[in-house]
Amino acid sequence: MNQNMTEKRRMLMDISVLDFTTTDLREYLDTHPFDTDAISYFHRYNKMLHQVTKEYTAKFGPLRQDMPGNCMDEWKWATSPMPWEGGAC
Amino acid sequence: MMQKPQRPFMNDMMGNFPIGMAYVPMQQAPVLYENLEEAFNRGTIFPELDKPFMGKRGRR
Repeated sequence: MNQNMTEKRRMLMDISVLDFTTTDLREYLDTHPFDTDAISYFHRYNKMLHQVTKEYTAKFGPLRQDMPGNCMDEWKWATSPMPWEGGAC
Repeated sequence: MMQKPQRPFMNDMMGNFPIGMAYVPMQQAPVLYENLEEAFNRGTIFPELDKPFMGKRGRR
């Protein structure tokens, strides 16, 4: 496994973990809307999630169609490899 | 006179709830897993909710 692939997998794992964490916190906050600790945890991890997703998108292409990255020359969502072609895995 | 049946699982609180309904106690100020990757693998960020169903009585 080359260095690039290792970094890609590590970043995908970080995104998975942070996405899961913020989802679980959102579910908790649905029933505990005044838990200030949970609110600050949510903001901390949500910021990290957006940061690492932005970095991943710039390096390896978009993971979500609504976060297509900054490239103005081509639509990376359409031109990046599909999951079965080695994209995003 | 018929003797009152014993209900060992009911505490005083239980008398206040209508019968035939299920209740889930609310989480109170829970702690999070320090290692979020462990939380991801466990399927919850709350150690107190980490209760895997084993198909038998609660044993790890």
